[in-house]
Amino acid sequence: MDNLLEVKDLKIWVAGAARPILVVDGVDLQVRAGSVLGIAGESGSGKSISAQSLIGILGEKFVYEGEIRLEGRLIGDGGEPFAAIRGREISMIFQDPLNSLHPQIQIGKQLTEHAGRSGQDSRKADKRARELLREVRIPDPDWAMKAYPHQFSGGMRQRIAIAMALVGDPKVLIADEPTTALDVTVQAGVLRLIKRLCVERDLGVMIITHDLGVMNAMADDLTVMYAGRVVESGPATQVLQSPRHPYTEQLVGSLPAGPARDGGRARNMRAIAGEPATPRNRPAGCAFHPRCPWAEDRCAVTVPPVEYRGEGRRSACLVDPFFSVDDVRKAAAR
Amino acid sequence: MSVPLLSRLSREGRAPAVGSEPTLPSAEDLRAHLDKQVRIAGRGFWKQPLAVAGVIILGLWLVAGVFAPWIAPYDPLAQDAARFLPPGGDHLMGTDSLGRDVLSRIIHGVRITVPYAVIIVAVSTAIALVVGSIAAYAGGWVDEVLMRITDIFLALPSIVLAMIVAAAIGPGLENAVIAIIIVAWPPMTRIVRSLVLSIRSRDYVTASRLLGASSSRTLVVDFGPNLIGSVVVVAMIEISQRILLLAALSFLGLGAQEPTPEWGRMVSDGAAILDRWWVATFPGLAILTVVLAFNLIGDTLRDTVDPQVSKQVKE
Amino acid sequence: MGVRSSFWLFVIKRLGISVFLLWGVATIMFLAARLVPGDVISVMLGEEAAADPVARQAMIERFGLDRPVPEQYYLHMTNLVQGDFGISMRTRGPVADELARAVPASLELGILAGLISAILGIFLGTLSALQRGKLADQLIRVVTVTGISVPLFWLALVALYVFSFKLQMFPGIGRLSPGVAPPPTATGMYTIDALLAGQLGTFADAFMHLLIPGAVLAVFTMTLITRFTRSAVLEVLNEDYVRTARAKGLTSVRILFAHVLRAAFVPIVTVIGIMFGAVLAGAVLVEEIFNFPGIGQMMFRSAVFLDMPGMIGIGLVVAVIYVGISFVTDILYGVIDPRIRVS
Repeated sequence: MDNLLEVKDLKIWVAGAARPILVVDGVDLQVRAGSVLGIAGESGSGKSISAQSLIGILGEKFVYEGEIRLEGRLIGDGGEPFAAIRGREISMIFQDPLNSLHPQIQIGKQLTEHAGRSGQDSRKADKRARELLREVRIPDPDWAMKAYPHQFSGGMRQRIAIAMALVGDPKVLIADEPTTALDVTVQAGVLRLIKRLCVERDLGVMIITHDLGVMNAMADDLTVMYAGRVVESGPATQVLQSPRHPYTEQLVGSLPAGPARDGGRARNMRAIAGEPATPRNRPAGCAFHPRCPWAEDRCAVTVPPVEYRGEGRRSACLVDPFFSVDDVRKAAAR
Repeated sequence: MSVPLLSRLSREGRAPAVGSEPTLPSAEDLRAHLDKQVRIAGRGFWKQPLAVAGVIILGLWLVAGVFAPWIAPYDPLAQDAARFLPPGGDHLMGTDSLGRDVLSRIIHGVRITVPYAVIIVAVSTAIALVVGSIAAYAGGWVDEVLMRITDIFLALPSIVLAMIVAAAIGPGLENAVIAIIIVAWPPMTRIVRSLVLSIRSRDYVTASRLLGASSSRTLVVDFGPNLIGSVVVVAMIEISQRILLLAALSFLGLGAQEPTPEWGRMVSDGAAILDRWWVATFPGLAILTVVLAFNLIGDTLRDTVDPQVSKQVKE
Repeated sequence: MGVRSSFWLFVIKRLGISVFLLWGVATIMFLAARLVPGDVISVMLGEEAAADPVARQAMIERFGLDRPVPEQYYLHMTNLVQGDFGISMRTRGPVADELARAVPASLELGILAGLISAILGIFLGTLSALQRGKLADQLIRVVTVTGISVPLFWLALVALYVFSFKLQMFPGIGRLSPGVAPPPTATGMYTIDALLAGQLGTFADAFMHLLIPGAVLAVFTMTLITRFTRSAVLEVLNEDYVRTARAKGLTSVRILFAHVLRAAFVPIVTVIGIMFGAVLAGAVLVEEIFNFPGIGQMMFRSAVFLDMPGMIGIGLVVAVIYVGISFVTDILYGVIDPRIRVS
């Protein structure tokens, strides 16, 4: 299937006190139209930074390297400038809807101020903003246009932020922890909305979250990151049901109520031992090896390459402890 | 007090096992952690060229002040030379209206400006520490009354209030110092109060309370070092403004009187005689450089050592 | 409706605080004049006049000095409320009359200084924040730290010496050049009165006389506004909604003006209000040097004469202006920021 957005070997450095720190190290990502890519990982895994680099809003302290292609066209360094892309072809919404809308500007103004350049006059832009508010299920759009952000609940604000992201009719929507700051009861509604937009608009959606429950509900594909590197990727249900990487396995195991699993390998909730590695003090070799129960001596030396494991799945583990003959047989039978 | 901390810990996923006491960091751990932070930040201080410049300027002035009788070429009070000699020759900065050597008077002036400014800030800070801590700790109506009193003092520019007080108790250097202390304690008290409140709400004090430390122990042991650190930073910035105020009162005739070689007084001697520019210019530069040195040091301390303070001072 | 009534409640509460503060200042004045060591009448009248039994008696009756302190306090307050600030021992005239002439002059100077410092300060502060850590930021930092370190009375002398005495670029002292008649009084501010009367020459002359003292007065406040703007803008730049604005694809110019400065404006307005009070404080040191007959000069001269009624009158006027400005900025704050208006 054709990829709408394709990222190859993305590396990002941030200016450090002494020397630049490599915070994202060789990440590959693919987003398909009409489907949801989930990126999972703890804080410090580089997932948000990777996403923000895709629309070039990372600020001067960051430098990136790698290939970002939208429908095959190179964007960013050496290609179309990010300024021409963001808001129009790739939009982004953020974690905290309380702060991601300007507190002193009316919703209507915030929804229309970036529409002007596509040649619409203000009445058209206004009408379009109302339609978008209706599309994201804001009750009474006419009133909402004149209201300020603080007059809405968190869930409503996130819906407004989504409407704002849709003004330029983007092809890709990046959602950075879109429901983390919301009440659990509201989360589902916002997620359903994103999923619906994805299908109805044939939108490529990238959801970044540490919440595997969200992934289970939303993602078609899943990429798991640890300390700035991809450790595992593949179809979401399979990655969650039978992880191939020890980190993913432990992440799934740490869920209070794990996602439905056919194998019935019931697990108790448990925390992953040890402190998460950060790019600033990334261990040599496999970054996860100090916390990994399967680690061998070689894991501390060699950085494991991301290898193809069949059925669209990839993982980066030298030991590959969850390799099973059953899986191979099943794959062969197909 | 214990509830927010515990619930925060459990929300972060490190839920304490049922029935067992949560392991909280000891006060010692926390203090060690804080000390380390201050040390790390303090290292940045010497990397700031402006701060180093401030230390050097201040150091030179202090040396000049301590060794003034040996460094100054003339007696600051001696009226030996001709009046209004321009700079150069025997008198590098010229002579004033009574034939006194301007350079010698400036060198001796440091012995007035810096010690008195330090006294002003020390006394007003001591008052502020007591009143501010009482307000923050007592809360309720005590806090309300004390804060309203400081509000009243802050409803006038400090120089105007200082002038009125100085005029009421009579002109003179010591009285000017008293007047400045009277205007200096209220803003300092407000800063101390908000520092105490913010430190008190920090986790480590809560933690040491949970460990069973008494309230007074908390105040003295856990809090003292942190509070004093922040207050020193504020005081450095405060000194610079108090030097300016003292010089201003002397300039207005309410502070140091003739023949004291006080810098503000010396500027006012030169104010009426513009063509004899050196009489006012050099003492003014002396004020500028000393105040600048304190500001450079205080600013950098605030930025590197104590972001907490920079927040309070800004408000 | 709920919004509006809570807003008015806020206004009334704030007004109450303002009245309380003025009462407090008036009380401090009363104490300052009475807790003086020695004879109160000598302090209020001056040694010379106090020796005159008639003047003594008049003073005693006027302030009820033979009556108990609480009653004296009551008289003091009622006199003040009626606008009676007493008789200046320096001019021998009512303090209120002199104030009426001095306040507009100082306001004129203060407004100019406030404008200069606000415009420059906001510009430099924004530039400094946007260029954080770079050369421009460092240079602006050197300028501001020098600005808060410089003694204003000395800077005024240097400016007068350089620009008026040596370079002769600006007229020297006073409000108008010798031979230029003051414009007909409407507001008491010469520049505005001259414009109202259509006297452009007088306006230009009055304006030139304001420029150097205004610029000197602006130095201190400009540095404070610069620093404050810098940190306010830096804070806003870190806000999520600025990131959202960038993600929406707005140009950086638009983000700066429509989003960043708009949000930073709220705290900046408050500080500008306070700064205006600081300008008045600076006027005490600067006006005399430029022989500019405002309340600063009046305060200076009252201090030289140890004229307590004069100083108390000015102190109260300054307090009224000070408290008034902070009242207005607080209200403005509420008007600008919809969140505060509601809560």
